[in-house]
Amino acid sequence: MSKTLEIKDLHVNVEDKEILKGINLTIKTGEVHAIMGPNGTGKSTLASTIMGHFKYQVTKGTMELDGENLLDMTVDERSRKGIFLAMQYPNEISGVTNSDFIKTAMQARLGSDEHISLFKFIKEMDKAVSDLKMRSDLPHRYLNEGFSGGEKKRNEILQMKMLKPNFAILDEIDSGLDVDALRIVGENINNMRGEDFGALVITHYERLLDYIDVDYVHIMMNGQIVRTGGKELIAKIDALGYDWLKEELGLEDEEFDNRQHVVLGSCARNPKTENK
Amino acid sequence: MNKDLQELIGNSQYAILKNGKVVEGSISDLSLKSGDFKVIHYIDKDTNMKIDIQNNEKVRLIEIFYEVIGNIEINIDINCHKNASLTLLSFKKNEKSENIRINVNTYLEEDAYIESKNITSFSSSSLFNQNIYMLEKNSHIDSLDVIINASNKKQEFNFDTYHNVGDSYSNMRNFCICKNDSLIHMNTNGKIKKGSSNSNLSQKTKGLILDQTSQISANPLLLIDEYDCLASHGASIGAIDEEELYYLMSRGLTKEDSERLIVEGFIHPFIEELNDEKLQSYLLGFMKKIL
Repeated sequence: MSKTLEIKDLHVNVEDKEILKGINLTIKTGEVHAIMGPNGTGKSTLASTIMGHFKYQVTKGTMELDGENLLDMTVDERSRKGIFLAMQYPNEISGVTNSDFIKTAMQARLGSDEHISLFKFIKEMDKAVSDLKMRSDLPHRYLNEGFSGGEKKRNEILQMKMLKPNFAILDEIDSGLDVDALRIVGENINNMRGEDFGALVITHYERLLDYIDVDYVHIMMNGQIVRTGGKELIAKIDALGYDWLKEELGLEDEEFDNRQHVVLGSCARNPKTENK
Repeated sequence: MNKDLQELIGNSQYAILKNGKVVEGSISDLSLKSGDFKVIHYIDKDTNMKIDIQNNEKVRLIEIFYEVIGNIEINIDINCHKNASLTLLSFKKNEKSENIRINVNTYLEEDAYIESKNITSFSSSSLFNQNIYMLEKNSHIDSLDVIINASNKKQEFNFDTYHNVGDSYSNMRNFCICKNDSLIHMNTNGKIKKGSSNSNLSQKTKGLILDQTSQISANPLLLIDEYDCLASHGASIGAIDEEELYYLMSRGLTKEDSERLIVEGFIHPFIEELNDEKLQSYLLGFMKKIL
């Protein structure tokens, strides 16, 4: 049965600065949405807010998963309800093996009387490792420790495959991936499409979206979704950038507003005054 | 011997010591030649003991303080003789004790090599003095100490390393975990004597505080009397990294499970090294109880 993630008029502050200024977005399982936009417009803030990161304060608006208020839930509760965030910068955690971590995460979704079959888990994990063309010793390596940037991103997808969320938010999953890894990741995401899976893909570039069938494309600027369309938007952004849209909407860059100027000092030398 | 202890020992060469004296086992004393050994300690009074690794021998030693009771002092000397190699895995704990004092002196001769991983978790106030002496050239020690204090008491650790000659190498890493309104003083002193050229000394202490009222103080000190050497130290203390917690919780783990995984991550390098399921299970069981 289809599930719905509904965000209405969401406003979010970070350290007293408003970053999201009224986001409206509805995603259903079975759909893939892409979010694009210039740097600093709030795309990652949206992703982290959906997941419940402590740094982001929701000041207005609602966020519901099938009618249940997500804003009342802790990070782990949201995850167990079916939300997954593939991080832009995954943490390295020494001493915690990938397999222990994923097994504990899968167990957390089961009732206290239920237990994961070890055999089934190992088989599934080995297949996921193989599908993503990762090193076979991955299960025994510490979580993201010593991983290249591309390996960390693929490890996020591996976790997603194992945890089978209803909604996956993929925050710049394509950054740091080479051409082959991009194809592998894109195909694996696409293969998860189905009536129980929806995705929100945050990206700057068209290339990942060559491998993923996208249903809706949203452009974010200045903390709001300013345009929604189909795949044709992607090609236009790739060809023309965002300036045409800024002009059309009469938007100015907020990125450099309210920055405080700081004098760092100078080591420049003036030979004329030096010997005075 | 009870069944649990039998399972821990398994088929290894072993010695059971009562207050430092061998009372049972396949070895009669701790003057060791090449091989794998398990040493099980029962201690209920002041104890002195010596572990000798003979010239050119290669020894792997797992040491467990199985039952340690009373207000006691334990003195251990470890001698790693010429070209000897010791892999030491040591688990020190006590129960029903008001106070425990431990002094471990380790001596390394020429070309001696020690790799040691130690977990210490006392349930009482304690004073633990560890002195490592690099006596001759090409002596080398790599040491990882995990200290867990959930005793609600103050525990003091003085870990000193002395480079008395050149061409010697020491790498000391200490991880301290504190909870339940406990206090750890971690004092690490590194001394490089004049004339000990080409010595290399490194110390690192990391402290993890698991509640609002526990404290850890890390006091590193380097006393260097030689120009031609390398020496470094570092210390960091804090609560569990919030971003690490967030990452684990974003996969559905509760806060408690996430904290447990992170803390177990400190201990994991030790557990992995045990290479023995029964021992791993014994240690993990103990950790789960106190943490």
